[in-house]
Amino acid sequence: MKPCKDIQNQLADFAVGVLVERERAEVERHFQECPTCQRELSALQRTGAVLDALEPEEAPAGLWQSIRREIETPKQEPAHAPWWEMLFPAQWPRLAYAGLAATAILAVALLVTVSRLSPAEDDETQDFLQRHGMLAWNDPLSDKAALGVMLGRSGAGREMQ
Amino acid sequence: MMRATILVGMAAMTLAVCVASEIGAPTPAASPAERLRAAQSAEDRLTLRATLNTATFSQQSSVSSQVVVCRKPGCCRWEYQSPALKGLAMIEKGDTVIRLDPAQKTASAACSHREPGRFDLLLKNYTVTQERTEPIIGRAADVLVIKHREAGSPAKKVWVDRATNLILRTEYYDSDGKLATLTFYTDIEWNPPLADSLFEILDGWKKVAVEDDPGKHWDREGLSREVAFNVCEPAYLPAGFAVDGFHLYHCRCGVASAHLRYVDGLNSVSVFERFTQCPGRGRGRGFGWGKGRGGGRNCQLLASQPGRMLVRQVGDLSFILIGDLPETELSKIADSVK
Repeated sequence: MKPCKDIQNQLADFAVGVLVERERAEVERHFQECPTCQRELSALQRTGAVLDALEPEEAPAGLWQSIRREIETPKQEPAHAPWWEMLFPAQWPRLAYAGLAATAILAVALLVTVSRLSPAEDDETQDFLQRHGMLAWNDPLSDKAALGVMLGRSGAGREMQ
Repeated sequence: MMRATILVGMAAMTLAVCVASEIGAPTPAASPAERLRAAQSAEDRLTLRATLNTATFSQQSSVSSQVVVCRKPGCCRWEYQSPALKGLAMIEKGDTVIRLDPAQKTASAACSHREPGRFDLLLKNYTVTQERTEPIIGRAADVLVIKHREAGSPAKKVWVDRATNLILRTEYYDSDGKLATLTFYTDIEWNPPLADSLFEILDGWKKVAVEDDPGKHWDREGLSREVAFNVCEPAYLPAGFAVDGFHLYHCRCGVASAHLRYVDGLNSVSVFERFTQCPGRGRGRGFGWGKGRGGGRNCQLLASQPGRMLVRQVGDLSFILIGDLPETELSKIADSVK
Protein backbone atom coordinates (compact mmCIF):
# COMPACT_ATOMS: atom_id res chain seq x y z
CA MET A 1 0.00 0.00 0.00
CA LYS A 2 1.26 3.48 -0.85
CA PRO A 3 2.18 5.67 2.15
CA CYS A 4 -0.37 8.26 3.31
CA LYS A 5 1.95 11.13 2.36
CA ASP A 6 1.89 10.10 -1.32
CA ILE A 7 -1.86 9.55 -1.31
CA GLN A 8 -2.54 12.92 0.32
CA ASN A 9 -0.54 14.64 -2.45
CA GLN A 10 -3.01 13.13 -4.92
CA LEU A 11 -6.20 13.81 -2.95
CA ALA A 12 -7.04 17.13 -4.61
CA ASP A 13 -6.66 15.59 -8.09
CA PHE A 14 -8.71 12.59 -6.97
CA ALA A 15 -11.47 14.83 -5.63
CA VAL A 16 -11.85 16.66 -8.95
CA GLY A 17 -11.54 13.43 -10.97
CA VAL A 18 -8.39 14.17 -12.97
CA LEU A 19 -6.35 11.12 -11.92
CA VAL A 20 -5.65 8.44 -14.51
CA GLU A 21 -7.37 5.10 -13.99
CA ARG A 22 -4.33 3.36 -12.42
CA GLU A 23 -3.70 6.18 -9.93
CA ARG A 24 -7.39 6.40 -9.09
CA ALA A 25 -7.51 2.66 -8.35
CA GLU A 26 -4.44 2.99 -6.09
CA VAL A 27 -6.04 5.78 -4.09
CA GLU A 28 -9.32 3.84 -3.78
CA ARG A 29 -7.43 0.76 -2.56
CA HIS A 30 -5.68 2.94 0.02
CA PHE A 31 -9.02 4.29 1.29
CA GLN A 32 -10.20 0.77 2.09
CA GLU A 33 -7.59 0.52 4.82
CA CYS A 34 -6.97 4.14 5.79
CA PRO A 35 -9.74 6.14 7.47
CA THR A 36 -7.36 9.07 7.99
CA CYS A 37 -7.03 9.66 4.26
CA GLN A 38 -10.77 9.05 3.86
CA ARG A 39 -11.42 11.85 6.35
CA GLU A 40 -8.97 14.12 4.48
CA LEU A 41 -10.90 13.48 1.29
CA SER A 42 -14.26 14.17 2.96
CA ALA A 43 -12.93 17.47 4.33
CA LEU A 44 -11.63 18.39 0.89
CA GLN A 45 -14.94 17.51 -0.75
CA ARG A 46 -16.90 19.53 1.83
CA THR A 47 -14.69 22.56 1.20
CA GLY A 48 -15.13 22.10 -2.55
CA ALA A 49 -18.92 21.90 -2.14
CA VAL A 50 -18.96 25.15 -0.16
CA LEU A 51 -16.87 26.92 -2.81
CA ASP A 52 -19.05 25.53 -5.61
CA ALA A 53 -22.15 26.88 -3.89
CA LEU A 54 -20.89 30.47 -3.97
CA GLU A 55 -22.30 32.70 -6.73
CA PRO A 56 -19.63 34.36 -8.89
CA GLU A 57 -19.57 38.12 -8.31
CA GLU A 58 -19.01 40.78 -10.97
CA ALA A 59 -16.10 43.12 -10.22
CA PRO A 60 -17.18 46.79 -10.03
CA ALA A 61 -16.62 48.83 -13.17
CA GLY A 62 -13.31 50.67 -13.13
CA LEU A 63 -11.70 48.37 -10.52
CA TRP A 64 -8.75 47.37 -12.68
CA GLN A 65 -8.08 50.98 -13.75
CA SER A 66 -8.00 52.12 -10.13
CA ILE A 67 -5.62 49.27 -9.14
CA ARG A 68 -3.34 50.16 -12.01
CA ARG A 69 -3.40 53.86 -11.04
CA GLU A 70 -2.54 52.91 -7.44
CA ILE A 71 0.46 50.84 -8.57
CA GLU A 72 1.82 53.42 -10.99
CA THR A 73 1.43 56.55 -8.83
CA PRO A 74 4.71 57.25 -6.95
CA LYS A 75 4.28 57.02 -3.17
CA GLN A 76 4.90 60.14 -1.08
CA GLU A 77 6.62 59.85 2.30
CA PRO A 78 4.10 60.78 4.97
CA ALA A 79 5.04 63.70 7.24
CA HIS A 80 6.20 62.47 10.68
CA ALA A 81 3.55 62.90 13.33
CA PRO A 82 4.21 62.73 17.09
CA TRP A 83 3.96 59.14 18.45
CA TRP A 84 0.90 59.92 20.59
CA GLU A 85 -0.97 61.07 17.51
CA MET A 86 -0.04 57.87 15.71
CA LEU A 87 -1.26 55.81 18.66
CA PHE A 88 -4.36 57.88 19.38
CA PRO A 89 -5.37 59.74 16.17
CA ALA A 90 -7.26 62.93 16.98
CA GLN A 91 -9.88 62.21 14.32
CA TRP A 92 -11.05 59.04 16.17
CA PRO A 93 -14.23 59.61 18.16
CA ARG A 94 -14.15 59.16 21.93
CA LEU A 95 -16.41 56.12 21.56
CA ALA A 96 -13.64 54.30 19.66
CA TYR A 97 -11.19 54.81 22.56
CA ALA A 98 -13.82 53.58 25.01
CA GLY A 99 -14.32 50.51 22.80
CA LEU A 100 -10.56 49.86 22.70
CA ALA A 101 -10.31 50.06 26.48
CA ALA A 102 -13.31 47.72 26.95
CA THR A 103 -11.81 45.20 24.49
CA ALA A 104 -8.48 45.24 26.34
CA ILE A 105 -10.20 44.64 29.69
CA LEU A 106 -12.28 41.82 28.20
CA ALA A 107 -9.19 40.20 26.66
CA VAL A 108 -7.34 40.24 29.98
CA ALA A 109 -10.39 38.86 31.81
CA LEU A 110 -10.76 36.11 29.18
CA LEU A 111 -7.09 35.15 29.45
CA VAL A 112 -7.32 34.92 33.24
CA THR A 113 -10.54 32.86 33.05
CA VAL A 114 -9.20 30.48 30.41
CA SER A 115 -5.97 29.90 32.34
CA ARG A 116 -8.05 29.09 35.42
CA LEU A 117 -10.55 26.87 33.62
CA SER A 118 -8.24 24.89 31.40
CA PRO A 119 -7.04 21.81 33.26
CA ALA A 120 -5.04 20.60 30.27
CA GLU A 121 -2.47 23.35 30.72
CA ASP A 122 -1.74 22.63 34.35
CA ASP A 123 1.22 20.41 35.29
CA GLU A 124 -0.61 18.99 38.31
CA THR A 125 -3.61 18.12 36.16
CA GLN A 126 -1.29 16.33 33.74
CA ASP A 127 0.05 14.27 36.64
CA PHE A 128 -3.44 13.07 37.57
CA LEU A 129 -4.32 12.36 33.93
CA GLN A 130 -1.11 10.37 33.52
CA ARG A 131 -1.78 8.44 36.68
CA HIS A 132 -5.30 7.63 35.44
CA GLY A 133 -3.91 6.50 32.08
CA MET A 134 -1.07 4.50 33.58
CA LEU A 135 -3.37 2.32 35.67
CA ALA A 136 -5.51 1.65 32.59
CA TRP A 137 -2.46 0.18 30.82
CA ASN A 138 -3.32 -3.43 31.61
CA ASP A 139 -7.10 -3.13 31.47
CA PRO A 140 -8.76 -5.54 29.02
CA LEU A 141 -8.35 -4.44 25.38
CA SER A 142 -6.46 -1.28 26.38
CA ASP A 143 -5.01 0.48 23.36
CA LYS A 144 -1.43 0.67 24.61
CA ALA A 145 -0.06 2.48 21.55
CA ALA A 146 -2.60 5.29 22.08
CA LEU A 147 -2.02 5.31 25.85
CA GLY A 148 1.71 5.69 25.22
CA VAL A 149 1.07 8.90 23.24
CA MET A 150 -0.86 10.30 26.18
CA LEU A 151 1.71 9.16 28.74
CA GLY A 152 4.54 10.51 26.62
CA ARG A 153 3.38 14.09 26.76
CA SER A 154 5.04 14.97 30.05
CA GLY A 155 7.11 13.30 32.70
CA ALA A 156 6.71 13.20 36.43
CA GLY A 157 8.40 11.31 39.19
CA ARG A 158 11.39 11.25 41.47
CA GLU A 159 14.84 9.90 40.85
CA MET A 160 15.30 6.37 42.17
CA GLN A 161 18.05 5.53 44.66
CA MET B 1 -8.25 -51.67 7.59
CA MET B 2 -11.06 -49.09 7.17
CA ARG B 3 -11.56 -48.88 10.96
CA ALA B 4 -7.83 -48.21 11.43
CA THR B 5 -7.96 -45.42 8.81
CA ILE B 6 -10.95 -43.81 10.53
CA LEU B 7 -9.20 -43.99 13.92
CA VAL B 8 -6.03 -42.43 12.51
CA GLY B 9 -8.11 -39.70 10.86
CA MET B 10 -9.94 -38.91 14.09
CA ALA B 11 -6.67 -38.82 16.03
CA ALA B 12 -5.19 -36.44 13.45
CA MET B 13 -8.24 -34.16 13.69
CA THR B 14 -8.09 -34.14 17.51
CA LEU B 15 -4.38 -33.33 17.35
CA ALA B 16 -5.03 -30.51 14.86
CA VAL B 17 -7.69 -28.96 17.13
CA CYS B 18 -5.36 -29.20 20.14
CA VAL B 19 -2.47 -27.61 18.24
CA ALA B 20 -4.78 -24.86 16.91
CA SER B 21 -6.03 -23.97 20.39
CA GLU B 22 -2.46 -24.07 21.73
CA ILE B 23 -1.18 -21.55 19.18
CA GLY B 24 -4.27 -19.40 19.61
CA ALA B 25 -5.89 -19.92 16.22
CA PRO B 26 -9.69 -19.77 16.41
CA THR B 27 -11.70 -22.97 16.47
CA PRO B 28 -14.73 -22.81 14.18
CA ALA B 29 -17.20 -23.05 17.10
CA ALA B 30 -15.67 -20.23 19.19
CA SER B 31 -18.23 -17.62 20.26
CA PRO B 32 -17.43 -13.91 19.80
CA ALA B 33 -16.74 -13.63 23.56
CA GLU B 34 -14.33 -16.58 23.39
CA ARG B 35 -12.66 -15.06 20.33
CA LEU B 36 -12.23 -11.83 22.27
CA ARG B 37 -10.76 -13.63 25.28
CA ALA B 38 -8.29 -15.41 23.01
CA ALA B 39 -7.40 -12.09 21.33
CA GLN B 40 -6.84 -10.50 24.73
CA SER B 41 -4.09 -12.97 25.56
CA ALA B 42 -2.71 -13.61 22.06
CA GLU B 43 -0.16 -10.82 22.05
CA ASP B 44 1.62 -12.34 25.05
CA ARG B 45 2.56 -15.39 22.96
CA LEU B 46 3.64 -13.73 19.74
CA THR B 47 7.01 -12.54 18.48
CA LEU B 48 6.89 -9.78 15.89
CA ARG B 49 8.23 -6.49 14.65
CA ALA B 50 5.54 -4.27 13.18
CA THR B 51 4.48 -0.77 12.27
CA LEU B 52 1.21 0.60 13.48
CA ASN B 53 -0.55 3.93 13.33
CA THR B 54 -2.41 5.44 16.21
CA ALA B 55 -4.59 8.53 16.38
CA THR B 56 -6.53 10.15 19.22
CA PHE B 57 -9.30 12.58 18.32
CA SER B 58 -10.67 15.23 20.64
CA GLN B 59 -12.79 18.34 20.22
CA GLN B 60 -9.75 20.59 20.15
CA SER B 61 -7.20 18.56 18.20
CA SER B 62 -6.05 15.17 17.03
CA VAL B 63 -2.73 13.54 17.83
CA SER B 64 -1.32 10.77 15.69
CA SER B 65 1.89 8.84 15.40
CA GLN B 66 3.41 5.95 13.59
CA VAL B 67 4.79 3.41 16.06
CA VAL B 68 7.37 0.67 15.60
CA VAL B 69 6.44 -2.28 17.81
CA CYS B 70 8.82 -5.05 18.88
CA ARG B 71 7.10 -7.82 20.77
CA LYS B 72 8.12 -11.16 22.21
CA PRO B 73 6.55 -13.26 24.98
CA GLY B 74 6.52 -11.28 28.23
CA CYS B 75 7.75 -7.97 26.84
CA CYS B 76 7.06 -5.32 24.25
CA ARG B 77 8.60 -2.06 23.08
CA TRP B 78 6.80 0.82 21.31
CA GLU B 79 8.91 3.48 19.53
CA TYR B 80 6.98 6.58 18.55
CA GLN B 81 8.01 8.12 15.24
CA SER B 82 6.09 11.38 15.43
CA PRO B 83 8.49 14.38 15.71
CA ALA B 84 6.17 15.87 18.34
CA LEU B 85 6.93 12.95 20.67
CA LYS B 86 10.71 13.46 20.34
CA GLY B 87 11.79 9.83 20.23
CA LEU B 88 9.57 8.60 23.07
CA ALA B 89 9.61 4.85 23.67
CA MET B 90 7.58 2.68 26.04
CA ILE B 91 8.67 -0.74 27.32
CA GLU B 92 6.38 -3.27 28.96
CA LYS B 93 7.86 -6.13 30.98
CA GLY B 94 5.28 -8.12 32.85
CA ASP B 95 3.36 -5.65 35.01
CA THR B 96 6.04 -2.94 34.74
CA VAL B 97 5.67 -0.13 32.23
CA ILE B 98 8.74 2.01 31.48
CA ARG B 99 8.62 5.33 29.68
CA LEU B 100 11.90 6.27 27.97
CA ASP B 101 12.40 9.98 27.35
CA PRO B 102 15.49 10.43 25.16
CA ALA B 103 15.49 14.22 25.58
CA GLN B 104 16.02 13.93 29.36
CA LYS B 105 17.58 10.44 29.17
CA THR B 106 15.16 9.34 31.88
CA ALA B 107 13.37 6.02 32.34
CA SER B 108 10.16 6.33 34.39
CA ALA B 109 8.85 3.04 35.73
CA ALA B 110 5.35 2.34 37.00
CA CYS B 111 3.29 -0.73 37.77
CA SER B 112 -0.04 -1.77 36.27
CA HIS B 113 -1.40 -5.11 37.43
CA ARG B 114 -3.25 -7.48 35.13
CA GLU B 115 -6.38 -8.63 36.91
CA PRO B 116 -8.06 -11.56 35.13
CA GLY B 117 -11.36 -10.64 36.81
CA ARG B 118 -11.57 -7.42 34.78
CA PHE B 119 -12.22 -9.38 31.59
CA ASP B 120 -15.12 -11.24 33.23
CA LEU B 121 -16.46 -7.85 34.33
CA LEU B 122 -16.22 -6.67 30.72
CA LEU B 123 -18.28 -9.64 29.54
CA LYS B 124 -20.84 -8.93 32.28
CA ASN B 125 -21.28 -5.28 31.30
CA TYR B 126 -20.72 -5.40 27.54
CA THR B 127 -22.08 -7.45 24.66
CA VAL B 128 -19.65 -8.94 22.14
CA THR B 129 -20.90 -9.63 18.64
CA GLN B 130 -19.19 -10.59 15.42
CA GLU B 131 -20.09 -8.09 12.74
CA ARG B 132 -18.30 -9.51 9.74
CA THR B 133 -15.04 -10.95 8.45
CA GLU B 134 -12.89 -8.74 6.27
CA PRO B 135 -9.30 -8.55 5.05
CA ILE B 136 -6.89 -6.17 6.69
CA ILE B 137 -3.24 -5.86 5.60
CA GLY B 138 -3.88 -8.95 3.50
CA ARG B 139 -5.08 -11.10 6.44
CA ALA B 140 -8.57 -12.38 7.19
CA ALA B 141 -9.90 -10.73 10.34
CA ASP B 142 -13.11 -11.09 12.35
CA VAL B 143 -14.63 -7.74 13.28
CA LEU B 144 -15.91 -7.94 16.87
CA VAL B 145 -18.06 -5.20 18.33
CA ILE B 146 -18.06 -4.63 22.11
CA LYS B 147 -20.94 -2.43 23.27
CA HIS B 148 -22.15 -1.34 26.69
CA ARG B 149 -25.24 -3.45 27.44
CA GLU B 150 -27.37 -0.52 28.62
CA ALA B 151 -25.98 2.68 27.20
CA GLY B 152 -24.58 1.34 23.90
CA SER B 153 -21.43 3.37 24.52
CA PRO B 154 -18.58 3.43 25.16
CA ALA B 155 -17.95 0.84 22.51
CA LYS B 156 -14.99 -0.76 20.86
CA LYS B 157 -14.48 -2.48 17.53
CA VAL B 158 -11.57 -4.87 17.13
CA TRP B 159 -10.31 -6.65 14.04
CA VAL B 160 -9.00 -10.05 15.22
CA ASP B 161 -6.60 -11.93 12.96
CA ARG B 162 -8.11 -15.36 12.22
CA ALA B 163 -4.70 -17.04 12.06
CA THR B 164 -3.04 -15.72 15.23
CA ASN B 165 -5.78 -13.89 17.21
CA LEU B 166 -3.66 -10.72 17.19
CA ILE B 167 -5.80 -7.57 17.24
CA LEU B 168 -4.91 -5.85 13.96
CA ARG B 169 -7.06 -2.77 14.35
CA THR B 170 -9.09 -1.11 17.12
CA GLU B 171 -11.59 1.72 17.15
CA TYR B 172 -12.77 3.17 20.46
CA TYR B 173 -16.03 5.13 20.59
CA ASP B 174 -16.33 7.29 23.70
CA SER B 175 -19.34 7.75 25.97
CA ASP B 176 -20.66 10.38 23.54
CA GLY B 177 -20.50 7.79 20.73
CA LYS B 178 -17.71 9.60 18.89
CA LEU B 179 -14.63 7.88 17.46
CA ALA B 180 -11.96 8.75 20.04
CA THR B 181 -8.98 6.51 19.25
CA LEU B 182 -7.99 4.48 16.24
CA THR B 183 -5.00 2.13 15.99
CA PHE B 184 -4.10 -0.22 13.15
CA TYR B 185 -1.12 -2.22 11.90
CA THR B 186 0.28 -1.43 8.50
CA ASP B 187 2.88 -4.20 8.29
CA ILE B 188 4.00 -7.12 10.42
CA GLU B 189 7.18 -9.20 10.34
CA TRP B 190 6.64 -12.48 12.19
CA ASN B 191 9.29 -14.08 14.42
CA PRO B 192 12.20 -11.70 13.75
CA PRO B 193 15.32 -11.87 15.94
CA LEU B 194 14.87 -9.29 18.78
CA ALA B 195 17.78 -8.39 21.05
CA ASP B 196 17.13 -8.46 24.81
CA SER B 197 18.61 -4.95 25.06
CA LEU B 198 15.49 -3.59 23.31
CA PHE B 199 13.54 -4.34 26.49
CA GLU B 200 16.09 -3.07 29.03
CA ILE B 201 16.99 0.35 30.43
CA LEU B 202 20.46 0.94 29.06
CA ASP B 203 23.41 2.19 31.15
CA GLY B 204 23.55 5.95 31.47
CA TRP B 205 19.78 6.45 31.74
CA LYS B 206 18.41 8.04 34.91
CA LYS B 207 15.76 5.83 36.55
CA VAL B 208 12.70 7.65 37.85
CA ALA B 209 9.95 6.23 40.07
CA VAL B 210 6.44 7.56 39.59
CA GLU B 211 4.88 5.84 42.59
CA ASP B 212 5.88 5.02 46.15
CA ASP B 213 4.73 1.44 46.45
CA PRO B 214 4.31 0.17 42.90
CA GLY B 215 1.02 -1.60 42.49
CA LYS B 216 0.20 -1.70 46.22
CA HIS B 217 -3.50 -1.82 47.10
CA TRP B 218 -4.42 0.01 50.30
CA ASP B 219 -7.42 -0.32 52.56
CA ARG B 220 -9.39 2.82 53.33
CA GLU B 221 -8.10 3.19 56.91
CA GLY B 222 -4.45 2.74 55.99
CA LEU B 223 -4.77 5.18 53.11
CA SER B 224 -6.53 7.73 55.35
CA ARG B 225 -3.57 7.61 57.75
CA GLU B 226 -1.11 8.21 54.89
CA VAL B 227 -2.96 11.20 53.42
CA ALA B 228 -3.90 12.60 56.88
CA PHE B 229 -7.63 12.94 56.22
CA ASN B 230 -10.56 10.53 56.04
CA VAL B 231 -10.71 9.12 52.55
CA CYS B 232 -14.27 9.39 51.23
CA GLU B 233 -15.89 6.91 48.85
CA PRO B 234 -18.61 7.76 46.35
CA ALA B 235 -22.00 6.36 47.35
CA TYR B 236 -23.08 6.39 43.70
CA LEU B 237 -21.36 4.56 40.84
CA PRO B 238 -22.78 4.06 37.33
CA ALA B 239 -24.24 0.59 36.71
CA GLY B 240 -21.60 -2.12 36.28
CA PHE B 241 -18.69 -0.29 37.93
CA ALA B 242 -16.81 -1.98 40.78
CA VAL B 243 -13.86 -1.03 43.00
CA ASP B 244 -10.54 -1.87 41.34
CA GLY B 245 -8.28 -0.59 44.11
CA PHE B 246 -7.24 2.22 46.44
CA HIS B 247 -3.77 3.65 45.86
CA LEU B 248 -1.42 6.25 47.33
CA TYR B 249 -0.12 8.83 44.89
CA HIS B 250 2.13 11.86 45.32
CA CYS B 251 1.84 14.63 42.73
CA ARG B 252 5.01 16.43 41.68
CA CYS B 253 4.68 19.06 44.43
CA GLY B 254 4.76 16.30 47.04
CA VAL B 255 1.14 16.39 48.24
CA ALA B 256 -0.16 12.90 49.04
CA SER B 257 -3.38 11.97 47.25
CA ALA B 258 -5.74 9.06 47.66
CA HIS B 259 -6.48 7.46 44.28
CA LEU B 260 -9.70 5.43 44.18
CA ARG B 261 -10.12 3.50 40.97
CA TYR B 262 -13.33 1.95 39.66
CA VAL B 263 -13.71 -0.19 36.52
CA ASP B 264 -16.45 -1.76 34.43
CA GLY B 265 -14.15 -3.92 32.30
CA LEU B 266 -13.64 -1.52 29.37
CA ASN B 267 -13.94 1.86 31.08
CA SER B 268 -12.49 3.26 34.30
CA VAL B 269 -13.08 6.16 36.66
CA SER B 270 -10.45 7.67 38.95
CA VAL B 271 -11.32 9.68 42.05
CA PHE B 272 -8.33 11.58 43.44
CA GLU B 273 -8.67 13.17 46.86
CA ARG B 274 -6.14 15.48 48.47
CA PHE B 275 -5.62 18.67 50.39
CA THR B 276 -6.09 21.65 48.07
CA GLN B 277 -3.09 23.51 49.37
CA CYS B 278 0.01 22.66 47.44
CA PRO B 279 3.36 23.63 49.07
CA GLY B 280 5.53 25.72 46.80
CA ARG B 281 2.76 26.45 44.34
CA GLY B 282 0.43 28.61 46.37
CA ARG B 283 -3.06 28.00 47.61
CA GLY B 284 -5.68 27.74 44.97
CA ARG B 285 -3.25 27.20 42.16
CA GLY B 286 -4.24 24.45 39.78
CA PHE B 287 -7.47 23.20 41.31
CA GLY B 288 -8.69 26.41 42.91
CA TRP B 289 -11.04 27.09 40.04
CA GLY B 290 -13.85 24.91 41.31
CA LYS B 291 -13.81 26.74 44.62
CA GLY B 292 -17.05 27.81 46.18
CA ARG B 293 -19.24 26.23 43.53
CA GLY B 294 -21.20 23.08 43.95
CA GLY B 295 -21.02 22.31 40.25
CA GLY B 296 -20.86 25.05 37.68
CA ARG B 297 -18.57 24.93 34.67
CA ASN B 298 -15.85 22.76 36.16
CA CYS B 299 -16.28 19.65 34.03
CA GLN B 300 -14.12 19.57 30.93
CA LEU B 301 -13.51 17.26 28.01
CA LEU B 302 -9.92 16.03 27.97
CA ALA B 303 -7.62 16.99 25.14
CA SER B 304 -5.16 14.10 25.36
CA GLN B 305 -7.41 11.10 25.95
CA PRO B 306 -11.10 10.17 25.76
CA GLY B 307 -13.15 11.34 28.70
CA ARG B 308 -13.77 14.21 31.05
CA MET B 309 -12.32 15.67 34.20
CA LEU B 310 -14.41 17.18 36.97
CA VAL B 311 -13.00 19.06 39.96
CA ARG B 312 -14.81 19.80 43.23
CA GLN B 313 -13.54 21.57 46.28
CA VAL B 314 -15.14 20.88 49.63
CA GLY B 315 -13.55 22.69 52.57
CA ASP B 316 -9.80 22.06 52.43
CA LEU B 317 -10.10 19.03 50.17
CA SER B 318 -10.10 18.76 46.40
CA PHE B 319 -11.79 15.90 44.54
CA ILE B 320 -10.61 15.28 40.99
CA LEU B 321 -12.70 12.83 38.94
CA ILE B 322 -11.47 11.48 35.60
CA GLY B 323 -13.32 9.05 33.37
CA ASP B 324 -15.08 8.54 30.08
CA LEU B 325 -18.58 9.25 31.36
CA PRO B 326 -21.24 11.82 30.49
CA GLU B 327 -20.98 15.01 32.54
CA THR B 328 -24.19 14.18 34.44
CA GLU B 329 -22.78 10.83 35.61
CA LEU B 330 -19.46 12.34 36.74
CA SER B 331 -21.40 15.02 38.64
CA LYS B 332 -23.56 12.38 40.32
CA ILE B 333 -20.46 10.51 41.48
CA ALA B 334 -18.90 13.75 42.76
CA ASP B 335 -22.10 14.71 44.59
CA SER B 336 -22.18 11.33 46.31
CA VAL B 337 -18.60 11.40 47.66
CA LYS B 338 -18.99 11.26 51.43
